[in-house]
Amino acid sequence: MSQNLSVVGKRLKRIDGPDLLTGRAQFSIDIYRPGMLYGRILTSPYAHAKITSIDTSKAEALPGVRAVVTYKDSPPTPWPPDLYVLENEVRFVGDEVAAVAATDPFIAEDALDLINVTYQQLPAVFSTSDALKSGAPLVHADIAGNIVKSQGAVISIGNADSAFAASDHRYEGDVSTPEQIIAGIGNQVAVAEWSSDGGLTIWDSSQVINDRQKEVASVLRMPLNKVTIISEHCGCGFGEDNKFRYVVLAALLAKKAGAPVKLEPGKRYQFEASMKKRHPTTSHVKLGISNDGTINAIITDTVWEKGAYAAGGTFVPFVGAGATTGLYRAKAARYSCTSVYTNNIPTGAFRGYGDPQGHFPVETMVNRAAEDLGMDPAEIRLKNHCQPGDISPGAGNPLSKVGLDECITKGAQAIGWQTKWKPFKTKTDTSTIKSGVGMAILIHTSGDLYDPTSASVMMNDDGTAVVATGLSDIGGGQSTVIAQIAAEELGVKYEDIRVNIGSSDVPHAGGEYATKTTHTTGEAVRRAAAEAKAQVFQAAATMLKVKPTDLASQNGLIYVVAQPSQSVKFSDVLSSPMIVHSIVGRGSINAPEGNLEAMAFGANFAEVQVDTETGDVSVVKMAYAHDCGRAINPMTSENLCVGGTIQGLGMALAEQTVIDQNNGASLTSNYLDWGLISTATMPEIVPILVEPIDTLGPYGAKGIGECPIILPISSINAAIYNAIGKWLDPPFTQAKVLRALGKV
Amino acid sequence: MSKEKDEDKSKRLSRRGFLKGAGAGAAVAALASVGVEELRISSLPKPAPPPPLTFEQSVTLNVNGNQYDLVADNRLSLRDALRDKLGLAGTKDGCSGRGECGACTVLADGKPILSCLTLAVEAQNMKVITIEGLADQTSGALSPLQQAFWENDGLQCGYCSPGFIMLAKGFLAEVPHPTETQVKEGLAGNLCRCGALPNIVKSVLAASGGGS
Repeated sequence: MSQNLSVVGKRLKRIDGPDLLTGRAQFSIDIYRPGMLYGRILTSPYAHAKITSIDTSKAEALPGVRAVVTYKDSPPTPWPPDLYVLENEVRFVGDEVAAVAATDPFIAEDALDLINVTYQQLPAVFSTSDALKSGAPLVHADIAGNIVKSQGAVISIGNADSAFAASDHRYEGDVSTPEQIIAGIGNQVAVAEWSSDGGLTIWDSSQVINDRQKEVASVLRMPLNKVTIISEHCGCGFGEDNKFRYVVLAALLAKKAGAPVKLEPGKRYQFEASMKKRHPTTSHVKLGISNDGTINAIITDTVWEKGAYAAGGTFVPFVGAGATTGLYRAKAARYSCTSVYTNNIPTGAFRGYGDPQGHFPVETMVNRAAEDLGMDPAEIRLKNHCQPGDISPGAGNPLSKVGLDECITKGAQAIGWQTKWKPFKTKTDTSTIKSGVGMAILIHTSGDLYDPTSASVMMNDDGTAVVATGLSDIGGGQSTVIAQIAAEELGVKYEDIRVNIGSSDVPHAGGEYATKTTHTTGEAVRRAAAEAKAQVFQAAATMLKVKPTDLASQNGLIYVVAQPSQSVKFSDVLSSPMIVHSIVGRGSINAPEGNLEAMAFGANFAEVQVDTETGDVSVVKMAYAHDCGRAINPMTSENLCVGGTIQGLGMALAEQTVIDQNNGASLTSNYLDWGLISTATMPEIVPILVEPIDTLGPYGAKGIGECPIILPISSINAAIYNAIGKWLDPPFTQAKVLRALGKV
Repeated sequence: MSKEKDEDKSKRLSRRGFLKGAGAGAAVAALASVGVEELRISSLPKPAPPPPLTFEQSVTLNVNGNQYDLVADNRLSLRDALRDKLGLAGTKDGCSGRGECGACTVLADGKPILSCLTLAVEAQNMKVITIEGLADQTSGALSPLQQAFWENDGLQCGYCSPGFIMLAKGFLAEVPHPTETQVKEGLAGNLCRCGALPNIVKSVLAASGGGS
């Protein structure tokens, strides 16, 4: 590949910037269809109850109401293992009960109040410990012990118990991580419309367009060519691999009403029924380390709270293994995960997908060892982290490149680690405001998980091109990145590319999750561009009387490498009689190919101040260094690093979900009570891009997406200990700090 | 009579006046000079009958320099009037109309307001500017503020962007050359879950001619 890149690696403005900044870009909430009705959802006030009767006659009789659906209208096929579109049993406060469609939103909301539901309350459990007790009430009557068997496993490498027992120093502890709600500002809305040939179109806010198409088709028992999902701009896209009832409910309402329906469940729904919630965990973790700082054994046993339904975030507990089994070169390791049902808001996929929870116990233990032994935590990481050729915890192949050395060195530099870190026990500062620093490292997938992804590139007569792939823009600059890759590979300008995304009617991209878009969809796009270019080069070679292999292209010009003045424009070739067919290149990848596997890596460094009188923890500065292989667009990459770090800070310091333990109701299902970092409360965050240029991926690029959210809870925990000598669990509230200091 | 008793009387008179309703304003004024012992219900003028109940009314809105006439439900928010009735969907709903997120921010007579907490009927005498009113109406060129957001990558998913841009426009009209701290505090009422916050601040500083 040419080192002389003219589009890739440049800080180009977002290709979809003007549309988004003028309000012209359409999210699903902005879709208006002729004759469209407005839909609302009725949810359960009880944490666990049977619906013994549901009378919708008064709601249906309200003028303006065109359709009401209940469990009686639900298709018989669930999403595996346990989620029916509607059921006659509810399992958490906020669980869906019925839906209505009416001519205006006010009538729809009034209609909800007219649905008469008789509930027979059942006993409920609100914690994993209660759910696991012998004789505990069952969340699902047919699932013994409240354990989601399909989301539990044990992964062993070597003999971890004996390696731990034989270690010079053994550390052991119990830690926990909190739930976290995605709570994106963008609303989840589905607009469903049936056509006269029995086809269904749904405009959704979805980042997994093809999965959504398959889920809807499977539950409604329809062929795929009759289900179209459109989601060009998703709004916030921080978690999918969840199964969404509201999408199918919109379709059912539209069918019954004989008109398009915009189903807008509202913001409370996004805090509750939408499954957009991170699994809370409790872990028992052991670390065995030698006198010279070699990590010998890591053993992590984690209990994951699933909430009321298992259908979303199905692989989260398995991904949580990565920090235990693959981040370090420990001789032995063992990871076990148990998933437990409770009558709480169901958990699902949320940026990081198990890795924040999986890294916290391990990184905390390594930091404990560092403090106890008086060893530099950064040095321990440099000594022990995985190396190229080690087996990846992702898909189990040898790692390609590992940029952790540079991440650690540059991150340390950015906060002045060398001068600031010393073990807490050596500190003598007596002021009431204590300072501390902490760090942590991560390994996370970059999409090399055998998830097929495809794209096409079509060239127009004038040398411009259209890239088509089933992505949705979720704000990471996805359209921009694939446009830059296509432009670079073709040899045309960035402005010559048009991006056709957001529909299930174009080649399937496999969805945006697992930090895969740049690395896998980007590569599919590059291959499609390469194939299109090859077709054009055939004709150009004839025109220039050379062989296709003598040619290269840049900025819309095709030239002979050995004699660059011999050239022809793309537009001249494409509009010539030599080309009589549409130039369409196809590209696809089922990564990883060959023997190697790329993973993303990062290092987070935090400096905090703890006010020992108020318990307030404030972040003075945070640096996140990310190994992205190559940054296709450094400007959008840095934006992602900072944005994800702010979300991680939310998990550590700001956001708090409070559930009434007596009845399971959420007390914080809105922004004011829950707490979101604003421009006035954000600390200084330094993003650092590390670019070892991988052997895999388009131009050696790997992903960033999920990674920045993973480490703040770990690095801040270590920084708090470094300041006050207390280990805490997130969120690091004032109350926890004061209690730890014995002040309350 | 003692001073205290007079004060008690005037309080009781005011409450009675309030309960009789606005139509009896004249009666209240008359009562103010009458002692409680002299009050007789039959001597009070009959209040005017209440107007007939309506749930909607004709509303005229001035948006982006254009006049729009519509019939709106009394409960309809300005935000939903813009989106559902006027085809101006750039103004967003991010918190189901609870006034928590600022995604619905528009300018009313130059000041940022939350259009989800403003009724359409309330907005009738306001000169409203929405995100659709910023770019050049003929050429489509971005306004300098929008251009600054584009150049400084002050967005990720873009859903909160119209709200932030309108807030910034109102803010810069009031504070044309803000410091970074002033920008951070001026924008703190709007939420961005993607965390594009530092670049949003940078964009507004750049638009004001400040920043690096």
